[in-house]
Amino acid sequence: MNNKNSSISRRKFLGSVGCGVAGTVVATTMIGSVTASENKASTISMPDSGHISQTMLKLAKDIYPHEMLENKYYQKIVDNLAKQEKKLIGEGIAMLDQLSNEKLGQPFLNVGYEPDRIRILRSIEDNPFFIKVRTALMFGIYDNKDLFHLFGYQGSSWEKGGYKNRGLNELDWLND
Amino acid sequence: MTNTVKFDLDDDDLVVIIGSGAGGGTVANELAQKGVRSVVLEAGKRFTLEDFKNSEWEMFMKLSWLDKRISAGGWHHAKNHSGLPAWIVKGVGGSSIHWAGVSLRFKPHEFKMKSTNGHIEGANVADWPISYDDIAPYYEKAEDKMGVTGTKATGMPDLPESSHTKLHRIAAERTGMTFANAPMAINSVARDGRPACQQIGFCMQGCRIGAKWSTMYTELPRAEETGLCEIRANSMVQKIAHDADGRATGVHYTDEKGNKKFQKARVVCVAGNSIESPRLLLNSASKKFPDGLANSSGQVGRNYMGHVTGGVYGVFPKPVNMHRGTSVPSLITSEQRNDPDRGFVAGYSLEVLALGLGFLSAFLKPGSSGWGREVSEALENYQNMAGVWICGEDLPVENNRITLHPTEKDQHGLPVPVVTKTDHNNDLVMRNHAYAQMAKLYKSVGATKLHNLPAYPSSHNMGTNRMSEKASDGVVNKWGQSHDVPNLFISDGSQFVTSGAVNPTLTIVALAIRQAEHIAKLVKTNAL
Repeated sequence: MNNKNSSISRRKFLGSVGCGVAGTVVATTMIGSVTASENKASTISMPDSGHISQTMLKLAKDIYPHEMLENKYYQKIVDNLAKQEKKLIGEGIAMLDQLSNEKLGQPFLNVGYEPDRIRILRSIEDNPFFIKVRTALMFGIYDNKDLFHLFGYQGSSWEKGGYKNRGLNELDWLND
Repeated sequence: MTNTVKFDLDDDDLVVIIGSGAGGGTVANELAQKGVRSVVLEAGKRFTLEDFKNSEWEMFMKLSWLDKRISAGGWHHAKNHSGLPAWIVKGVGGSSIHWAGVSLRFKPHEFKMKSTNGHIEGANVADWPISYDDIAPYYEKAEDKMGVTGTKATGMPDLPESSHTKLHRIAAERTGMTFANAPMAINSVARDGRPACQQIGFCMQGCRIGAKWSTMYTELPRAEETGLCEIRANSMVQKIAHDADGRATGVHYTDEKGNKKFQKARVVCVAGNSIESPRLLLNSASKKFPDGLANSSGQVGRNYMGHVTGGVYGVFPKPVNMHRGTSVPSLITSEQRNDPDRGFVAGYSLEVLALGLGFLSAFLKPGSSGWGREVSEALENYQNMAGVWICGEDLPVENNRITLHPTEKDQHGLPVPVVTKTDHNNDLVMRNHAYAQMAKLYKSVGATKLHNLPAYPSSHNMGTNRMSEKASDGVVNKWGQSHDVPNLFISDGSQFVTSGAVNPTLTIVALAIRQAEHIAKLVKTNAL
């Protein structure tokens, strides 16, 4: 991992994904082997960072779409990832745009019709770039205690004495 | 916690126990209580209760055995969990840190699956060389030792009802299925120096207050307190050595500082779980035992069983809050019976299982396609979800097995294990039956959507050094003692002949108590 970013943003990133190494290990052990890609993008010039950032946001919201989640949460996750994995992300976005240009005649960011975007993303879901982005989002959204409440999940409970006297059995919409 | 005793590497009068989980940890304490000295070599480190956070992925990273392993064969793990065939723990206490606490006994017929169902094509089913009656007294001892709720052995009441349980109880009533509170090795009242459960949840991330039984804070410290047991953490065993007569003489291991050591032994007990245990025997091949130690039958590493599993998560119109309370609060037991009229032999339990948001996001649709609206919309309903885990009997199949990779090595220079498994057709039919039953169950209480999840990396690993009456059919006899190497024992779930429709831990502990009694007798009469 690249350590040029400030330790603060690194820490924030770790905070938001729960556990830094987890992303890598989970990607390879739980999600599957990251196979070598036929990455043609290395010959393509790197897109500028503004374009990367905007495209990554679009991509993130297609991967785990939640109306209830403000853009800033997605943006933080993908921007931190783009800083950490500059080459992989830059080349990945270039590849995505190339694919999008070939199929739809415009860069990914400009594709307004959701099913078109999803079709392109499905075709690259085994690509290391996509897996990396998806894994970061999975941790950044669903293993992020700042967002648990949006899903009705309560996270850590031991410090509150568990649920023994705190709503263990309050299901009242179903009766014997 | 400090070691009270240190034994010499040249002391050849010791029982060397490899692994400190439910099997190894129990054998160590049982031997110590009977005055038999032992050294426990544990590959993982020591944890304290303060290390246990209520955080799924953080604890997964902290506790799991993540040494290199490879999944192969026809199961979906080969693609979706390629480096994690099984989900077990590396630490002092082993997977008894991670287990949920479900303490079910095998049923009498589950020790006799061959005579019950006859030959099954494509499977290697055998009867156990012991019967239910042989093990019953040890089940009772195990229930007392571990503190299992709702048993005669403890007289402990069941844990209180949660919303998650209530939903399943009512659904079972409506559909005529059989509901049961789970017999749990979790204190419902303070008992045996451990507190009552606070319904924290996160049972599988290490019980923060020690209300759930784990060898980590029961058997192991008690063994140490006798002054007859030394536990060496961070000590990975590489090879079991033997003499010209074919008796085990000791073990080669790497200690916590990375130094190679040799510990002499009078008896060796292998309890490294069903992947590491056969791997160690295969890695201990020698001129005398070219196919691996204790492997004259060729069965070492074979008949690898998990359980026939999967998950079903239903979405309901209103909140369930499944995360509140113990991870596995209750069961549906109607399908545990052996009834071939259903289209498959053997049975399955349906175990109510809460997953947190983090794990559900990974397991709802595992693999590279697990993204998009289907996943995110499901997770938005987290609060309104309830779920079960299927625990069905997995048939032993010879070619479902642990082998050594020809070139890949781990950090100790040992060939890494390859875990090859393909579902038997019986597994597929059983799993589909369970999905259909769950649909019936959940629709009866108003489910609006169902998610069928494929198997998770298994924490239940069995069968790779199985017991047998005859030496040609298996690796160990009815005491878990090697047919080939008389002072070598298998003390974990790898000695299972079949997998049953229940969680393996209670049976592992019952067998360990029984085995330790046998070893102590042999040692004291100089028969070993």
